[in-house]
Amino acid sequence: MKIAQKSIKFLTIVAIALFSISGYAVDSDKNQDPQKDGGQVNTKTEVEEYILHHIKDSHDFSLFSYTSDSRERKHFGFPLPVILWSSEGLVTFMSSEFHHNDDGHVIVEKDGLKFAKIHSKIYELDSDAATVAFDDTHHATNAHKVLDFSITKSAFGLILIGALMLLWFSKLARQYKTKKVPTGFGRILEPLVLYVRDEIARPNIGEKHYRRFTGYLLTVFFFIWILNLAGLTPLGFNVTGQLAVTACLAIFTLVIYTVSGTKGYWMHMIWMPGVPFLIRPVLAIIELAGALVIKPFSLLVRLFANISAGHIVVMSLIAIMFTLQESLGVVGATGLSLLLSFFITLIEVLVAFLQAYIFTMLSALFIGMAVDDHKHH
Amino acid sequence: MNKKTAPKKPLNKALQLSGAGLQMGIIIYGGFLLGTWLDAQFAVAFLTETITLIAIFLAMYSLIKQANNINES
Repeated sequence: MKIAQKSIKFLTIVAIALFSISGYAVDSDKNQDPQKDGGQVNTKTEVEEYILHHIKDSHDFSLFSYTSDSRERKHFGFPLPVILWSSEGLVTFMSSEFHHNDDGHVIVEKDGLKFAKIHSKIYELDSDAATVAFDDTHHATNAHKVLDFSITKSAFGLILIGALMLLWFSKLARQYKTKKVPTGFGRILEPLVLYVRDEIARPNIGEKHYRRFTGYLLTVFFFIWILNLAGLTPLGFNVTGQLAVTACLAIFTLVIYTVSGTKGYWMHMIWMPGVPFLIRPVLAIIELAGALVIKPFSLLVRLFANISAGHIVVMSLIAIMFTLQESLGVVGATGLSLLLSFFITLIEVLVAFLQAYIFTMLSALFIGMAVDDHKHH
Repeated sequence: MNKKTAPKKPLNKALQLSGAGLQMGIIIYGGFLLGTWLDAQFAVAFLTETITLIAIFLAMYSLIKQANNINES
């Protein structure tokens, strides 16, 4: 009975969440020609453009769009707040004011300033300009970029997953006050928490120090994993495929192992024992570059590249439906696309876990090397 | 050390070599850049090749050093 109640509750929440989105968020552009607005994706170049557009971050959250019978372009999704630091200070408005325009033709006027969105970047027009002028290389000549603190789709994803994790894990933690075995969703989380602690943190950092870093390792593991999985849903998240996000995570790891490094760790790096004296300074440069640049760089690139590549491959396989339609027929192309994208998505579920695991494991290894006592020398 | 955790360790430790390709690449490229810069500074032509070669040996040396460290611990 309890399970049935829970699932009914869950389904109701999902239903409310989805319907409220589609309920208030129908937004249409009458002034655009559906053939020109990039709505219909049929040719190879259009598919490529669409994929690259998806990989990037965007200022509004669109779930899907279609062209209605009356040639109107309908968008399903919701606008997100745009927060800018312009030449006159803080400016905020909703991203819906751009009307899904991305080539700088829609000008938003706020506090006497004019803004345009060009390729997902927001530009502030010069005070005397009315429209954006472009040069031969399609760069705006009378507008400049502004500091953009907008809650973009990825920032929204970060906040959403962060809030969900806070909810789930604080609930799990509170359960231990009253009972020994957690119930409900906590029962799924507990073995995963134990796994990170016993298989990643403990063997790599060592019995003496592992407790200090388990919190961080658990956070990055679940954060990356859940965001990777969110990227596989049709919501269109690509948060861990943003360089800024992976770079930020890698910098956290860098700061942690740099700050907690022992004397032995730094001595090994700067003046490596057991090596000819002439090589020591050169090795020090390599070791320092390795610890401060190469390690975090490989962490951030690995996660970013794997997730981006996964998204590109899945979307390319879905696009087979259109690109191979002529040679395979509608049924053949759709069938092939369905089959291939199904299996690649299964692999992507594995990759989502694997990348979270590798990131956490390497973070644990680097921290473990930094806090190691180096007794064997 | 019990037997259960023993076979897992080599794999975990070897994971730190997963960035080895990148590490070697950056060291060698760094050597090449340094060589080109020094060539321009001193107006000679042999430093690019020499320093790149040295960088290759250094990259291999540090990789072997890393691998030995994994074996030791």
